[in-house]
Amino acid sequence: MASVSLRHIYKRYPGAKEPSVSDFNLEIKDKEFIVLVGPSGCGKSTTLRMIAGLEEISEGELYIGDRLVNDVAPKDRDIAMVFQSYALYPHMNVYQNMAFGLKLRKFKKDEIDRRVQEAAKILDIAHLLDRKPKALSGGQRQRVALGRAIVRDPQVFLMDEPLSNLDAKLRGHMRAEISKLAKRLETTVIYVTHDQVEAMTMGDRIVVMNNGVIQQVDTPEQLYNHPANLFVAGFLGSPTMNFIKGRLEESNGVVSFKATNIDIALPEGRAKLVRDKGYVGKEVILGVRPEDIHNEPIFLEASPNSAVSAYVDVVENLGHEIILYLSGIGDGTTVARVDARNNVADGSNIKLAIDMNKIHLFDPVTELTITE
Amino acid sequence: MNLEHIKQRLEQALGIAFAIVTLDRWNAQTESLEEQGTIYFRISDPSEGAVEALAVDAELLSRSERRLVEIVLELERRNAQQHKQWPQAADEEGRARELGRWMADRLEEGDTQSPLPDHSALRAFQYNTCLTLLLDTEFGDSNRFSYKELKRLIDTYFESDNVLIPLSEREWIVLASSTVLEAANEDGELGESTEELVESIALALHEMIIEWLGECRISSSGLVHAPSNLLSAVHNMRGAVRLGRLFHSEEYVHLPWKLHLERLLYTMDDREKKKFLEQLMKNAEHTTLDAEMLTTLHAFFNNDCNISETSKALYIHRNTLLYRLDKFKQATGMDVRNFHDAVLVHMALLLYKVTK
Ligand SMILES: Nc1ncnc2c1ncn2[C@@H]1O[C@H](COP(=O)(O)OP(=O)(O)OP(=O)(O)O)[C@@H](O)[C@H]1O
Ligand SMILES: [Mg+2]
Repeated sequence: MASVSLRHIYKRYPGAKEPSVSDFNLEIKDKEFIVLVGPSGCGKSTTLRMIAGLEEISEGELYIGDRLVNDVAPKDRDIAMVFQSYALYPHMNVYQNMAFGLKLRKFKKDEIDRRVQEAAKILDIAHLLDRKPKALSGGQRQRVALGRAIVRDPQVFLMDEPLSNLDAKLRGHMRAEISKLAKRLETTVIYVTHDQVEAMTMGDRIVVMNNGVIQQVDTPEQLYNHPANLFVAGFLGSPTMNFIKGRLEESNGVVSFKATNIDIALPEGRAKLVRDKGYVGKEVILGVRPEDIHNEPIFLEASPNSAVSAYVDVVENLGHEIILYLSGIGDGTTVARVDARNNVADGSNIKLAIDMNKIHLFDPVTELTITE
Repeated sequence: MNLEHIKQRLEQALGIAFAIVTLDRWNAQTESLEEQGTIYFRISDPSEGAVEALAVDAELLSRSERRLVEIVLELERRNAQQHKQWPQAADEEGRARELGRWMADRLEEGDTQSPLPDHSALRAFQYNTCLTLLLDTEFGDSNRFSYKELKRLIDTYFESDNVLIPLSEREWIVLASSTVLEAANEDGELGESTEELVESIALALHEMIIEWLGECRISSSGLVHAPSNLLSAVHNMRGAVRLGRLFHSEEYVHLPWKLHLERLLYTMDDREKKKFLEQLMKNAEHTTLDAEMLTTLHAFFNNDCNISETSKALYIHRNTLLYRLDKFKQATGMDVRNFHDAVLVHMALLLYKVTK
């Protein structure tokens, strides 16, 4: 168990124009479950591989605990890795697979046995110890791969998309298992995924990356409710946040957001914020999550200043809720997620209202939030 | 020369018994002579006085068999001669390095056919077929890969005494007993092909080595009879690593039998490569092949052009995938759901990486 500290870390591959990872700064606390998330190619694996010692660090410092490990071989970093491929040793049975790392480290036989048996019990694979990998299911193999890491009792676990070879159902299950396991082992975990659901459900904190640069680091709730920029706002959430281009205008002391077919008033708190920051009279991007657009009569009555009307292009019924694909709010398609009890037919015109206390405003040039 | 071993091999092959004898002198210019119903094959040099020989009942051997035994012994002797000229380092690592240097020199000369000298570094693999692997530790700090440490890792991994030959600063040849393949194939309901087994062993070996020492690339020639074929096997493995590094830089296990198309494309000259790409992608803008599109197309081909498998693998909705494929079609005129277009785009992607 240890903290991990990444200080101004860069990775430049030879011949590449841009660094794959730029000025990466992060203090990971002891026992923290950190998730690195971002689109394909954003540098998640590269970052993890530098922590593991599989890629040289081009610039910056990496500490595990209080030890500088830039030049330390993987085996001496006291880490364990679980990768997407998790190739088990095919000629060894499950027991030998788990015992292998300890055998290499010259552990005593009975200590090896104690650790393997304990890990097998935790992972519920004690009945499989005699089997060869070929005779295991995908989920069982995944557990053995975890077991191989657990028995080592490392300071830090590094996992790179460890669940991506599993089918959706099993993935959901193992997700919960790994979270539980991490809590039980009280160990530091750095977990890479490009699946936002995995990120949101597993991470104590999430690091959102794009183009090799950290966009924001925070708890899942904070990231979801207070995204620092357009990228983070658009990356987390499904369906994704709606973005509407428009302009802020003030008349009679009321600040309004105006775009095609929309003229909605900002609540006083937000109005003061944008006034202070000098955005009145400027172009901005309004962000609103699908669940913050409502059509319940009570909400509509209570929100005359944020009413909009729209044409329903498509209705997607998910049972407990429905997803509406709307046109007529701003220039593009707007998505709303509403209660399934409110009957809505496609091809109809409906009235909705936006929960103005939940909206986000972004600067169209810097793409940074202006409502925080 | 291990006389006892040769005797055993000949006995196995011919199904008759040989005896090792010493003759006071050798009254002939030939490799063998017949005296009183016994044929003697000379082992040692007659100029040295007494001669060691293999003796066999003349009735049991046909003329062509007799000729063949002569040839075998002649080759063995020549081998042993070569072997004598070696300084033969005292320790295991020194001997392995010696053999590695000899091999590197042959390969440097373009020689992939010479049989290996009878060198003690080869140990039991002198005579048997063995699993052959090549490690290339091109990344970072190659000082981490010491002979001792690597040998220990590999011996623990294969649970036996293996041969490790340093071929160059960063290349290592590993010879392991073929029994590891049998062990890997136990328990499975369906027998796997040797190639599949070798691949799983190589992938796991890679995972083990990186966790211990750091990144490396691995190739394998599968089962090889080392004395006669190791040079050509190493040549093939080096070729596979070179192709893998070029065409699949983000993978680390490169097997010769999975790189046929790459090998073919590699032989094209650069102008042809560029021309092929230009003609194929003539309508496309540079932005068409962004990271997302590349990832999408790779996943599509890796999943046998299956829409639902691909969307699962990429965690995207099937409509998102269809939309991307349509976008690609609009930009290039190539519909990868069509077999012939898929073939061309697949080749274009491979070439795109190496011409970029
Ligand atoms: N060995 C390499 N040589 C050159 N460039 C590389 C190498 N490995 C990765 N890159 C580049 O670095 C960038 C980051 O890659 P990385 O694998 O870290 O992305 P990722 O976030 O893990 O993506 P994914 O979700 O697809 O796994 C990419 O542009 C990639 O092409
Ligand atoms: Mg990755």
